[in-house]
This record gives sequence, structure tokens and C-alpha cells, in this order.
Amino acid sequence: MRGGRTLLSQATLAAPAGVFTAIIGPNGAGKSTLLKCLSGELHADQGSVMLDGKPLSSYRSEEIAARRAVLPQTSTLSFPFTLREVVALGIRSGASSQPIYDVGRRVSEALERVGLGHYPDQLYALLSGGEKQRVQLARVLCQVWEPVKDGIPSALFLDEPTSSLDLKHQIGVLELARDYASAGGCVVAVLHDIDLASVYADHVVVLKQGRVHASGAPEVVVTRKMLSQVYGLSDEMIELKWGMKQLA
Amino acid sequence: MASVAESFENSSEFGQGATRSPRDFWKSICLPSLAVVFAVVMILSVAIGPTSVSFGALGRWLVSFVGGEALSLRDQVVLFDIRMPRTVLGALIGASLGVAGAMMQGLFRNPLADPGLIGVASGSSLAAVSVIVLASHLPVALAVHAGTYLLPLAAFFGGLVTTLVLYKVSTRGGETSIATMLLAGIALGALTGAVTGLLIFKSDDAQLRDFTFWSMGSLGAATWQRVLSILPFVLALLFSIPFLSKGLNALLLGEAEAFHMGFNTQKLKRILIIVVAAATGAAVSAAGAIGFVGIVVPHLLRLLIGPDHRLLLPCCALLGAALLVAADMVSRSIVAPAELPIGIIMAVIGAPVFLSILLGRRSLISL
Repeated sequence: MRGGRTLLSQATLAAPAGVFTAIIGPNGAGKSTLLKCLSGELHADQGSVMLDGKPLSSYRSEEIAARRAVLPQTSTLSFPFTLREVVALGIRSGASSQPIYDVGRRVSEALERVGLGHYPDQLYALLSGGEKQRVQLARVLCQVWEPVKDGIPSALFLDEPTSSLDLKHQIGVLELARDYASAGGCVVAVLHDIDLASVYADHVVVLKQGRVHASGAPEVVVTRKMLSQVYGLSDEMIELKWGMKQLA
Repeated sequence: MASVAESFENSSEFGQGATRSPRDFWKSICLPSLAVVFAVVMILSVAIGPTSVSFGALGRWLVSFVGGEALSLRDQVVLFDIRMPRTVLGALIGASLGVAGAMMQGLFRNPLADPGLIGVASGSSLAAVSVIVLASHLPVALAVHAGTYLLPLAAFFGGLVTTLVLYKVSTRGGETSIATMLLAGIALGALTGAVTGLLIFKSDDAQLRDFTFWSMGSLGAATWQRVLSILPFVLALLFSIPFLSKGLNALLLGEAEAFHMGFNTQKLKRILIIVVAAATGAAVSAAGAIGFVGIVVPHLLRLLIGPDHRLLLPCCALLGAALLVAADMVSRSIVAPAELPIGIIMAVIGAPVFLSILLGRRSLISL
């Protein structure tokens, strides 16, 4: 409940390790709210979030941060950090209990992975929106670098990670997320692009007005019926967007 | 064009270890060089003044502790009872203002936040002025202590209340609106100014002189007792630096982000507000409202070494101390034997820097 409005109700979601879970749904369906509940940023009035069978609230925030990183939708920064410094914040966050000896190399590697390895001393504030989003992704990656650490899986929560990216980088980011999941990590991403979600996610959760409308493998969940019921798309609109492509 | 592209290629080929940006260079030398600057300024401040005490005499006096020849009584008084407390007080206040400014800017996630500009210092001043007026109604035994102990405490609480009000008014869901913050600061400043004015209107001549001192800022009333009375506040601030730096860095990214990175943001913010209010209160109670140190010092240092608080905050302490002690030297020598209020000197240096932040980094600051 926020401002007297119920944002989520009966939204049950399991995000197992090794699985890339995508949350899709129309604007205002509660996707980001659900992610905020999962990350512990918001507390649900009813219901609970469990991590390894224990309620999330029973963990200390450092413990959670050591195995779960969150990519925010937008991030403003009015201080002159360079790319390297922003990414290094992920490593030096409250999460890292043991020292990492080669911070510089880890940071460069993370920047390489999001395609920004060239100018690590550039000022963050001078980047474009899409580049900023990728720097943030590199920072988040540094926080939970190993998908599985000491036998315990880590989790990446991404809130619309592709919203300001061009097509090539959208695919790059989703591939990165998929690789993270197939290496044993847990990935939960709020996505807008249903096509990309169907291609890269193992599991799709469709939210409608705060409820889970459907949940399952993409080919089962993404159907004409779902598109018209959840997004209110007419047959012509579906035809226009997807054309001759086969949709169940 | 080709050569430019090539040089970029080359620099990336050297790898991270080999390329050193100007920022890396400043980062590696800033702490030791600021320490040297600070030491030099401290020595100069003790050595220079309207009454000439030669460097030789200063050296002899230092030696006299280990059994050298003693100074003349006049020189001893000038050095030990006048210049040294004044210099130490200036250093303590400068360090607090520099660090408090940087911390407040991190708390508000905004490089323009400064305790002097957004009304925190006026809140402290109001509390301090109230104590002065109240003190005349207290029993003599209490009134004597009021100046020493009550004043810094009152200034601390005045600053605390103003900071809390300001934070509540200008922050919604972890996002601080810069425009609201500055405007709320103006409103709070006007309100506390009005009440202070009312108290001045009701005050006698002696109190009036005290108020003038408060509104312009001066280190002229420095005594060892005054140094001792603010020392706990300043030490608390300086000792908090290592514990708050990492959290402040994360806070610059955003409150939710800092939480996701494992920091207890509520606790962090609470501690920051208390520590900043304590430092501002201490500074105001000992030397009145001295503006702009908290904005000039962190700003200059961020240009050179970036905003990483683990290095920025210690540097702010050193540069703030050096700057205020130097400004005080100017204030007492430029129109000697009279004194120019140090607040005037800091405003002359600080206002242009503030404007240049607005002009030069308009793209980085969204109002």
C-alpha cells in the first residue's frame, strides 16, 4: 500500500538460482514495486520475502548486499566521479568483507564487459544516458562478481536495464544477464520489451494491476490472449507489431 | 585526427597500472602537501602579528621547553596567550567547517549545500545569541559557565534543529530537491535572523557588541578556554571521518543505492546530521558565523582529487584549517592594529567560487 493505493496483491514469485526471471507488464502494474519488495527496499504490508527459506528482514543489510545487487532505473550523480571511481564503489561497498587485492583490474574487467573499457578516467556526469546505465551495471556487477560464491548463489536485480540503451547494447546486457544466470546466479529483471524477454529469459512473470497474471516459460506465457488481456492490445495492433511472426 | 586516435589507443594499451591521470597524481600527493602547507601556515600565524616577535625568538621559546633560554614575559604573553590559542582555534574551526561542508554536501547529495548558506549556521547563531541574552538573567555563578559550556551546546542544538527541519522539508523519498533546500534555507535564515534581530533590539550595549561579533565572525576572542570548550565537538567530527567515508560515497549514488550496497542509510543520515550540527555549532559558538569555508574547500579539492570521501574529508580538514588560519592572518594584519572581521574575508573569497560552481558546472547540477 502506498498513498492509499494497493500496488501489489497476491504477487507470488519464486526466483531460483540459475534462472533468468523477467517481470513484464504494462505501466503501473507494480513491476518496480515488486522488485523493491524483493530487494528489501520496501516492506510489504502483508506477505513476506524469503531468502534461503529465511525472511529477508532477518538478515543484516550487509549480508544481503554481499549476495544481491540492484541496478536502479535511473541514477543521478551530481559529483565529479570518473567511471572507474563509480564502478569501484561497487567493490568497496558495505558488501565486501574480505579485501579485493586487485581493485583496478576488476574495475577494468567490469567496464570491458559493458563495452566501456576505453576511457575509464572520463567523468561520469558527461556520459549519455545509456552509457551511464552501463556504468551502473558494471558497478552492480562488481558488487556480486561471482554468480556463485563459496557455493552460495548471488543475485542480480535489474530494473529496466535496457531502457535507455540502443539495440546492440540491449542485447549485450541481456546476454550478460543470461550468462550470469547460466553460471548459477539468480537474475530478476523488469523488462519492457516482450520480444527480448521471450528470447533471453528462462521464466516470465506477467503482472497486471499488482497481480501475477501469468507465470512460466516465455513460449507458454507470451500469447495473443495474454497481450490482449494484459496490455489491452487489439488484433490489429498485435498484427502491426509482430506481423507474420507466429504467436500462439 | 589519426594521431589523436592513435594516442588514445596507446594510452589504453598501457593498461590500468601504467596510465596515470592527473587525478591519480593529485591523489598521491595531496595529503602530504596539504600537511606541509598547514604546518607552514600555523607557524607563520604564530610568528606574524602587529607586535613583532622574531622567528628566532619563536625558536628559542620552543627550545626553552627543553631547557633553553626563556623568552621575555611580553613575548611569552603574546605567543602563548594571544597568538597560539587564536591559531589553534582558527585551525579547529577551519577543519570543522571544511569537513562539515563536505559531509553536508554528501548528505544532501548536492555540491552547493553549506552549513553557512542554508541556514544551519543562523540556527546556531540564534541559539548562541539567546544564551547571551539569557545569561544576563542567570545567577552569576551559572552565567560564568554559560559562556564556556552552554554556548557551544546551545549552538549545537540550534544547528541540529535547523538541519533536521531543512532535511525534512527538502527531501522526499530520499531525493533532495536543491531548489527547495536553498529556498527553505533562505526562509529559515530569515526567520532566525528576525528572532536574532528582536533579541538585539532588546539588548544592552555590551550584548550588542557580542552580537556584532557573531554576525560577522571573528577569532579575536580566542582563549585556551574557548579552544577547550569546542575541542570535544571537533574531535568527534574528525574521529567520525573513517567510519562515515564509505557510507558517504555510497550515498552520493542515491539513498536506495546505498541501501542496496549494504549501508544502513537511516543510521548513516542520522549520524551525519548530528555530527555536522555539532561541528557547525562548535564553530559558530567560538567564532560566529563564518561562511563559505564549507563550500570553497571541498569544491577545490573535488576538482583535484575527486569526491572520494576517504581522501576528501581528511584533505578538507587540513585545507580548511590552513585557509581559515591564513584568512585570519590577513584579517588582523591588513588594517592593523584594527581587525577586519574574518567573515568578510571569507565572503570575498567564497562568493566568487560559489558563482563559478554555478556557472562552470551548470550541466552537473540540476536545480
